[in-house]
Formats: sequence, structure tokens, C-alpha cells
Amino acid sequence: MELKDTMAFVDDCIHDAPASCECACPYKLNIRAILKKTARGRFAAAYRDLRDALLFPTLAAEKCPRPCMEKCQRIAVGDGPIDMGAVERYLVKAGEKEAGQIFSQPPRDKTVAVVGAGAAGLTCAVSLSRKKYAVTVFDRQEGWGGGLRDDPMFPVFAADFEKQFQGLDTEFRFGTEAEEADLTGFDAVYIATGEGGNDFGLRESWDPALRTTSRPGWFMGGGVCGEGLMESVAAGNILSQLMEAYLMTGRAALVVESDAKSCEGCVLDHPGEESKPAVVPADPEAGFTKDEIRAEAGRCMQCQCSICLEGCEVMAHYLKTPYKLAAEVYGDSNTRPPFSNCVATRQTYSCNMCSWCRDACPTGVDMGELFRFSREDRWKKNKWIPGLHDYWLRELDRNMDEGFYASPGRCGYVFFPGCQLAASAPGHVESAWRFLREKLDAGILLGCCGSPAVWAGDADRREKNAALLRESWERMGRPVIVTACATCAERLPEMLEGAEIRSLYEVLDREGAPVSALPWNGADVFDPCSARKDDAVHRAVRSLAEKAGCAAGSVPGGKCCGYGGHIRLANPELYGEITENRVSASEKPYIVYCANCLEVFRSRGKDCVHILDAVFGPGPAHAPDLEEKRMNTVRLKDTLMKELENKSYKAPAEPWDALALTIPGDVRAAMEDKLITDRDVKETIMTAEAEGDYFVDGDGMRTACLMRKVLTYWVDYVPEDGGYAVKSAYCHRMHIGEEETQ
Amino acid sequence: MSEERKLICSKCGAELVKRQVMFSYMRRTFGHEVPVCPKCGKAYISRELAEGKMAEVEVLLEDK
Repeated sequence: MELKDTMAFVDDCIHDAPASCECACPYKLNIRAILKKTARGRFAAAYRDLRDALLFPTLAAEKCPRPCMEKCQRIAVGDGPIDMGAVERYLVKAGEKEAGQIFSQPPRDKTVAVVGAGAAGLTCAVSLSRKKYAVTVFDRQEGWGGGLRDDPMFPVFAADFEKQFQGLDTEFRFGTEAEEADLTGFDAVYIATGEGGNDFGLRESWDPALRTTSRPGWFMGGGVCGEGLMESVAAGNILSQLMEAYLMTGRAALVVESDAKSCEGCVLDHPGEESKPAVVPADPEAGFTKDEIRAEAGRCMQCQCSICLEGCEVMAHYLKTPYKLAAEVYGDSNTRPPFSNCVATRQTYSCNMCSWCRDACPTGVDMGELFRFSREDRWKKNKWIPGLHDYWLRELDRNMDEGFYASPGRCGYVFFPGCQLAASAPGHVESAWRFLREKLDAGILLGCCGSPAVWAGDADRREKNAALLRESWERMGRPVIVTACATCAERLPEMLEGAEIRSLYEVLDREGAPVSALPWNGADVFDPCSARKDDAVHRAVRSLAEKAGCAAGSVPGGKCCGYGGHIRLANPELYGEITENRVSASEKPYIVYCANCLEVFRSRGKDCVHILDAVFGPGPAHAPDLEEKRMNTVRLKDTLMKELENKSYKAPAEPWDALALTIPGDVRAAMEDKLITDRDVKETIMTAEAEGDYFVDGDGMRTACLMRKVLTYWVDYVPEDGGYAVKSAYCHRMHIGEEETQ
Repeated sequence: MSEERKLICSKCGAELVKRQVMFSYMRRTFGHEVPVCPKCGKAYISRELAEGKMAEVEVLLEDK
């Protein structure tokens, strides 16, 4: 992996981009910082920022046409732009007592000639003089100013020139028409003779980007090259950097590229921003008072895009910018333990990968894609954390084995309910399939879309899963896929090229599926994150709800319920925060159409139904536990096989399946929380009992241990009539012993 | 259940004693004192340890 591979994910991020006003500014002034300081009344500091960037702040304050104001985003809110001219003029006045900028450094032995003491020449001269080059300025007139000498404001500008050159050792040779011979001894020459001035025969060879000419060390800019006043001043500033590079290295080049991003800058929507009309001075003659200018500068919205950092819980928790994260993902891929360690691991595995950021971002940067890339990279390099995804990967394997079923024969449509709906509401799956069979002669395909493998970064499993699905889909004659799960709808096209995907809810609504009343006459629909932008499915679900007599609003946000990316074990606290935020996003009960959302919200006690409850009658009243989910899938497969192939199906049995367990409610809840299944507990007990290998305490309670490849399980239990009473079950990811088996 | 629970190894009939045991995770190995059968060397990890200190160390090592 190279840095550019990760940076490519965030290239379009505008968090660190200049604001639109700053992009428009010829000097690339840090307008937001200046306005912030002004609004706080820190006028001297704001003036210094202005002076350091403009070199002659008075000139810019009076002469700049202020393209920044046209790009002020206050306009988009319906207000007038911030009066940057007034702010600059106020600061120039407030900074009257501030001296010119002086760098404390020893003199340099390079000499520079500047031909022309107009705006362009003086800008270059003051900049290089501050850096202690020996600068000599020639002008045929008896003083500085060039074309500005005829301006009515010239005395003011001249005073500023005086101030900024104060304390510098610049030599001025006024009244001297510089001849070529006068200039030959200098290490570098800047020709800034103004409009129609002497170009020493070099105009044709002028390079506008580097400001060089065909003569080594001779630079040119300003009016003589057709540049306007503000352009000339800005050019003089850049030119001093180019000349310095030339003097130090013999080559003219910018050390730091200017903000190359074609510079629309950071342009935002500003939803909910309150209007702040332009401040008008009470006394126009006297101009802005201190309080008035502070209020005017305070209207700046400090336009900086932080939408993802503020809107996404994961980004807000870690507060790392997209650029920083991209750099960290690269760094994490190239660590050399123990000399360097990963820094973004927890965030990488805490992302719901729901692409909310992509859809909220003005430039569509998708941090989920960056983390998906990182998870795959970590998996490939065996730097992933198997324990965080072990349960779901095993579940995926089961769903593509004992839970997998493809109806025989070819079909024009196939129902792909998604593994979680089959596990949690098998009755709905069966009913929906019967409906689709009647209307569309649809077949059925039970299995998993492979999202658990994608979220774990497990590329092998993902590909194996895809191959199995592809094989069945091809055999069925590449039918149109009707799916009940928005995540499947998003994932399947990645693996089944050319597959046409339809939403079950749209079909049900369009085909006029009969509905019965929902428990409430008003509820909010929680659209799953993977259907965030699917307006057609949004409409269909709301239409079904309305037909069921329930006024359907919307839960705002469009964010993941918390299930996405399988972050629950990686970051239980954040998972808790996210799920709590989702259930409290609306006080109304929720209608969902994603089995995962249903599971998450019910686990937090939220009043919630699946929209299929309206169509096919109420589903299970409680969320099934892990073992029930597994058996639901197996029984559904058995039902379908009996009906379609006249065969029955039994899941492969394990010796410990028959073990009778008593599991109290609190122990069951703890097992669910840690994703420990009945089968894990049974295997642990049976293995220990078979070998007589357990610990026992004085009360007769036994403790058994089962070390699997990824997780180690522990069960505290007491034998009881014909079975075992489970007192506690827990697991850990760490391996006991020196050799890790992972 | 606390770590102080008096346990007997059913296989060896011996009472567990506290001993240094090696653990490994995320390519790192380290020792910690836990109850162990003095005969067969099998270690016991209590729920408090697994879900407390051990879970904390797991996260620390995973994050490196």
C-alpha cells in the first residue's frame, strides 16, 4: 500500500480547504482568522495577519476590488456579504502604531536589483529585504509609487511604504534609469518597470507561472507584463519566494505549492444558520465604531466543512479529520512492531460503514470506504482482530451451509429475503415468497449477501460466498432478484454482475398486497441506512403503512441503527451511544423494514414493528435469541424443501445438541450480549464432562473451559436432573499459553 | 463468583494455586498470576478477570 492509495479516498475532502472567500482573494488571505480576531476585538493581531500577507495593507485596503465579498457565503443565507473593505480599513487604522515586520536573522550575501519602485517592485523589495537580502531599487522617477503617484490617496500609500521599509537596509536609487550595465553585478534582477516600461527585450520569453525570462536570474512581473494593480502586488509576493528559491538553489520554484485545488473552496449549505444582516455604521461619516466592526466581523460563519466530524458519532468520538485518518490508515498498514504501532485500529473497526458521511459530504467523501479498504488490508496482512467478527463469520458460514437453499428450476424472479429476516421472522419470509410466487412465479434463494465478510475485511470468504450465490443465480437463469433487505440490495450487484434488484416493499405496494391494521395510528418510519437514497422504497413503505391506517412520518437522520459494520464487540460503548441516539431520535414508535434495525431497536426496548407485520400479520413479539434464529432458518429451509422438492431437511447434528440446559434470564441476556450461543455452552460442558476435565468448588459448581481457535469459552454450571443448570458463561479473545493459535 | 473461589481440578484432584501463566495475543506474549492446577498446569480464568482486566488488555493489544 502506498500513501496515495489511502489519500485517494479523501482527496476531495474540503475540511482543510480555504473558504470560498479565501480562494477568491488574490493574496490567499486567511480571511476567517482575521475576521475571528476582529470579532474578538484583537485588532492588533488581526492587523499583523493582514500586514504579513499583504505587505502594504493600506494599498490593499483602499484598492482591492474584493472578489472575496462576491464569494461570501452569508449571501447564500440571504444576508449581505461581510464588508471586508471596512474591516481592512479599520484594521489599518487600528494598526497605525504597529511597526513593519522585521525578521531577526543575519544578512545574506546575495544581491537583488529591483527595477521600478511601483507596487510590484516595492512588494518584492520589501519582502526580500525582510529576509535580509541586499536589495537595490532603481526608479527613473524621484521617489517611489510608480503609477500610484498620481492617485489622490498617494500620500497615504507613501506613508505605508515608509512604515513597512522602516528598519530595513533597502537601497533606493531614485532618479536613476537603470541600464543593463547597472544590473549585471546582481545575483538576481526583478523587472517591474510598469505598463509600457522597459522590458530589456525579455517580454517574449516571460514565463507567467515562474515569472522567469530567458536570461538566468532575471525575473519580470507587474504592469510591464500586463498585470493589474492588485495582481501586481500579489505577484510581487509570490515572486519574492521564487527569487529566494532561485538564489538558494539556482532554480526558481515554489517550495510550498499554493492551494492548488482549483479553488472553489469550502462552499456549504448552512442549514439552520440564522440570518445576520450587514452592520451599518450609525454615523456613516465617522465609519464603523469598535463595536460595529466587531459585530460586522462576527457575522463571519467561519465556513469550514466539518459535517462528518460533527454529524457522525464515530467521527465525533475520535475527532480525526479525513486527511489525518487516511494518513493513519496508511501508517497502520506499514507498522513495524515494536518500533511503530497502529493508531487507528479501534476507529477502523468502529465505523458502521453506512456511508452517511458520503451522502452528507458536499464532495461525497466516504470514510466507510476508507475503513473497508483498511479492514481488507489488515485481514490480508493478518493484522485484523478475528475475535471481533468471529460470531458473525461463523453465522455467515452457517447461513451459506445449513441455512442455504436455492429453489429448483429456472425462474424469472427470485426472492432473496436476506439471512437476518429468515432468522428473525421466517413466517414473513414464507408468506412473502408465497405472495411473490402467486404474482410473479418467483423462486426463492436463502443465504447471506456476504456483508459480514465485507465488514470483517475477509476477502476469501466474501469471494467464496459470492461464488456460491452466483452459481445458484446463474443456474436459475439470472432472475430478477426481489429482496427484503436493503443491505443485500446494495451488496448483491457487487457480486452478481448485471443483476436487476427490486425491493419487496415496492412489489407488495404495487401489487396491492392486502394489509391489516398496525398497532398505532401514527408512527415514524426508520429508513435503513442502505436505503437512504432509495426514494421509491421510502414511498412504498410509507404507502403500505398508510394503507394499514398508520400515519407515517420519518425518523430524521438517515443514519445506521448501529448494526452496520458489526462494531458491537469492537466498541461496545460507542455502539451503546449510537443505538441510544437512534431510538431517541423520535418519541413515536418506529416502523422498520430491516431485520437488523428491528433487532437493535427491540433490544433497547423501543416500540417497533416491521412493515411486513402489516402485510402478513404480527411477527414474533420478542426478538429471538441466537439459537432460535439459527433454528428458524433451518426450519424455513425444511418447509421450503418439503414443499418444492418433497424432501425434508435436518441441520447437521453435533453430539452435544441433545444436552439439556437450564439457562436463567440474566445468564441468557449476558450470553446474547457476548454473542455466546447455546451450542457454544453445550460443547464446552460436554467436552469437559466427557474427559472429566473441569474445576469444581466446595458448592459443587463446575467450571469448564473450551479453547477454540479464536475465542476461549468458560461455563459455570451445576449438574441437575438429566442436564445442566448454567450459572454463567463468558469468553475472552486472549489465548492461554505462549503460542497463539490464530 | 470471585477469584478467591476455592477450586479443585477434577482430573488431578488438586486444589488450584496461584502461579505465573503465559498468555499470548496479537503476536505478543506476557505472564500473569492466575489460579492453576499444580499437577496438570491447567489455568482458571474467572469471569471478573475475563471481562475486566483481561478485556482491557485485549483492547490495548488490539489497538497497537
